[in-house]
Amino acid sequence: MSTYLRILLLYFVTTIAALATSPAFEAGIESYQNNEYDTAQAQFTSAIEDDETAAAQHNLALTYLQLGSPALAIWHLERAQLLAPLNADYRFKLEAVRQQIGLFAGAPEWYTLASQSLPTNVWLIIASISIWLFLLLWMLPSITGIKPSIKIKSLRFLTLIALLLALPSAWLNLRMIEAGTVIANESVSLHAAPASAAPESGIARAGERARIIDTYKHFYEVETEGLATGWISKDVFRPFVD
Amino acid sequence: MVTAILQAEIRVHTRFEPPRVAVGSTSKYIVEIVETDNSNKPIVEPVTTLPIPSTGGLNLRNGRTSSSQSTKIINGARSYNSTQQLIIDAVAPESGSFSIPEFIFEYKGARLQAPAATLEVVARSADAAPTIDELIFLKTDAPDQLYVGETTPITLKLYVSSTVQMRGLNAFERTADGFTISDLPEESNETIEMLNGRRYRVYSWPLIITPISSGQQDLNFQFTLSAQMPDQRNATPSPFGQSIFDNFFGRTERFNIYTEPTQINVRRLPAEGRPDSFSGAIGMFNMQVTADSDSTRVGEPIMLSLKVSGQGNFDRIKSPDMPATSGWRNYEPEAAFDQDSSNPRKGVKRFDYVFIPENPGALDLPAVSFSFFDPKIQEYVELTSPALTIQVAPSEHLITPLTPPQQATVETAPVIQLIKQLNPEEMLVTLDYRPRKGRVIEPDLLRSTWFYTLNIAGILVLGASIFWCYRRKCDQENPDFALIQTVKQALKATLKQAESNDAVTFFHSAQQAIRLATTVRVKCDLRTANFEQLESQFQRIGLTESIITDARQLFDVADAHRFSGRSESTDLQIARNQLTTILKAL
Repeated sequence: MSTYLRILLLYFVTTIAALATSPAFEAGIESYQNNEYDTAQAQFTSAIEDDETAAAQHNLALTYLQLGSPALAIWHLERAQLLAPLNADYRFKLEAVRQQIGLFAGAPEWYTLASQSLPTNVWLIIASISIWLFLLLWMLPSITGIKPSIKIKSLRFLTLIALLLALPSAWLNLRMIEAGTVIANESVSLHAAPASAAPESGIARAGERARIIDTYKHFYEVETEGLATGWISKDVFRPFVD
Repeated sequence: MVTAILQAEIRVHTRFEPPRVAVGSTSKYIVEIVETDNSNKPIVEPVTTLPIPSTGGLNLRNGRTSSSQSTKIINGARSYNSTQQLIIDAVAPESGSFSIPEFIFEYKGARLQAPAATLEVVARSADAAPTIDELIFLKTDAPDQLYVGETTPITLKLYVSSTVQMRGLNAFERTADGFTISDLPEESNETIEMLNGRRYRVYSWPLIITPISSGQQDLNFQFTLSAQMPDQRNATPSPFGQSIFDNFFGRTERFNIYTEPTQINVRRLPAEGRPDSFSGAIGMFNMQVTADSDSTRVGEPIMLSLKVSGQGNFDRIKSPDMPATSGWRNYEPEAAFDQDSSNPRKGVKRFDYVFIPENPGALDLPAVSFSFFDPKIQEYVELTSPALTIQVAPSEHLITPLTPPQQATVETAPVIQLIKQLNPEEMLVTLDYRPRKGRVIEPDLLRSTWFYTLNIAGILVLGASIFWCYRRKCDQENPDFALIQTVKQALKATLKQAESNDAVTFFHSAQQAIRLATTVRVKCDLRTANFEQLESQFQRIGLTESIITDARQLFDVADAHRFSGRSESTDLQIARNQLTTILKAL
C-alpha cells in the first residue's frame, strides 16, 4: 500500500514541477514583449540552464532572430525540435528561418518523423529485445523438434517487424543527434585538415546542417547538406548534443 | 651631335641607330643621358616622358629605357659614369630624310637640351630581303566603334613567316586603359595563311574586350618573342630547296612585335528611350518566365524563374527588380549563368525569385520586365512577361479560429473580418508561453553499460533456454526417462483414485501406488511386481523394517479384500496413514 502511495506522490510532484514555470522563462517573455531582446536572450539562456524545455529553446531562437542572428536561431529551433519532435509549429518556423537565409526548407521526410515518434534509446531497447526474442522463437522449436504453433509464428512475425522498424529508426535518430549547424551568420570555410591554415576544401553556409564525422582538438570534421566535407572550427559550428 | 653641356657632369646625345635604313625597316631613336662624377656614383633618375615637339613624319612607338654604370680609374683618379638611354622605335613611311628637332626636357631639376637627329631612309631595292616587320607581325580584328559596356570578341593573330623559326613567346603586354580584356589563353590556335605571296604560320588567341570609358580609346597589344631569322646569305632560294644546315647559320633574337596603333571610338549609350528596367545589358536577348507551380499554400514558397538567353554581356545583366506586390513577400533572387562552351558571349542566365504568399486566393505574381540595348539597331528593347496567376490555398500550419456560422454573413450586415490568419512573419515573433517538459535528449545508449548489460542478459537467457531445451530433448529420447515420466503421471492418477472410500478401490490403488512409487525410486519397471519383488527392492534401497512391515500388511489386507470380494467399508484411515508413510519413505 505504501508503495502505491509513494508512486502516486512522485507522480504528483513531477507533474507539479513540470507545470511550474521557471522565473527566468517568465522574465524572458516579459523582456521579449518589451522589445528588450538582449535581456530576453540572457533570461531564456538562464531558463535553459535551470531546466531545458523545448519552449525555452524555441523562445531563445525567436529572440536570436530579433537580434539578427538567424544561424543561432536555427540551432535553437533544431534543438527545440529534438526536445519536441512532433511539434509542427516549431518545424514550420525552422523551415521559414532556413528559407530566410537562403537554405532549403529542409522539411523532414515521413520516415524521419516516424522515427522521431519514439526516443532513440527506446528504439534501441525495442531492437535489442526483438532480436533476442526472435532468435529464441526461431531456435527453440528447431532444437526441441516441436512444430511451431500459430502463436509462436505470429510472435516471430511481430518481433521481426519490430526489429525492422526499430533498427532504421534508431539509426535515423542517431544520425540526427550526431549533427549540428553552422552558427556563424556568414558562410565559413571548411578545411582539408584540422587547422585554419589548411587548404580550403569547401564552404558551409550559415545555419547549414552538417553531420559530424570526427573531432580533433578545436575542430569538427563534418559533411554538410551540400555534401561538402572538411574540418570546421568549433567556434562556428555547434553540435545538437554535446 | 654632342650637345652643349648644361651642367659639367651631364651630357645629352641623340642619334638614330642605324642612321640609314630602307623603307619599312625600323630604326631606333636613342636619347642618351650621360652623367660623370669624380667623387660619388651618380644616381639615375628615370625619365618617363620626352617632350618631342615633332616626329618629322616618323612613326614612333615602343618607348623604353636602359641604363648602365661604369667606373674608370686613370692614374689613381676615379671617375664614375652612368648612362640612361631612352629608346624609341622609328619607322618611316617613305624614302627621304626625317629629322627630329632639338628639344628641352627636365632632368634632376635642370633643363637639358636634346640635339636634333636625322634618319636617312632609302628606297628598298627589288631584290632586298624582307624586313622583320614583314616576317613577323601582329594583328587584331577590333571593331571601329563600340558602346560602353558592350562585350565584344576579338582575335589576336601573330603572323610568323615560314622562313622564321619561332623559339618562344616571352611576354605579352597590352595598352588598353579604356577596356577590360580577358586573359590571354595559354594555348593558341595555329593555322597557315598566304599573305602577299608569303606563307605564314598564324597563331590566334580569342579575347573578349569590354569598353569602360567613352571617347577614342587605344587598344594595342605587344608580344616579346624569340625567333631565328633566316640567314641573309641564304636569302636567295636554293635550287635544291632548304638545307637542314640553314638553321645552324640563322640568328636567334628577341623581338618586340606590336599591333598597328589602334583606336576605337567608344560611345556612351543613349539616354533617350532608356527604359527603367535597363540594367546594362547590351546584345541580343530573349526572356522566359516560369513558376515552379501554379498552386501553393499560404506561407509555402514558390519559385519564379526568369531565364535570359542570347548573346551579349551577361556579366552586366543584373536581376530585374520585382515590384512590391500585395499578398506576396519575395526575397533577393539567386543567379546562375550557364555559359556556352563554344562562345563565352552566349548562354543562359537564370534568376530564381522566391515568393511566399501571405493570403489565400488567386494571386497574381508581378509582371517581369527586362530590357537591353541592341547595338545593331542602336535602340533599347524592353521585354515584359505577363503576370502569372497562382492559386493559394490556406496554410495547414496557421492557426485558424472556428469558422463562423453561415447565417452571420448577411448581405446587409457590415463585413467583419472574423478570420485572421497569421502570416509567417507574425508566427516568427510569437513565443511559446507553455514550457512543457519535452523529450529528454539522452546520451547515446550505444555507449552505456546499461545497454550492453541488457544485451548480455539477452544472450544468457537465449543460451540458458537453448541448453534447457536441449537437455529436455535428450531426456525424452532416453527410454528410462520416458518410463519414469509415464509412471509419474500414472502415480498421480492412482493417488487420485486412492482417495476413494470404497475399500476395494482404495486397496487396489494403494498397491499400485506403491509399485509405481518404487518404480520411480529404483528407475526399474515394477508396475506388475509382487510384494516379494518389491520387498527385495525395499531392502536394497535401505527402507526401515517398520516401513516394509507396513507395506506387507497393506498388501495382505489388499489381497484379502481383493480375493474375498468384500467391498464394505473398513477402517481405511489406518491404511491411508500407512500408505502415506510408505510413499513418503519412497
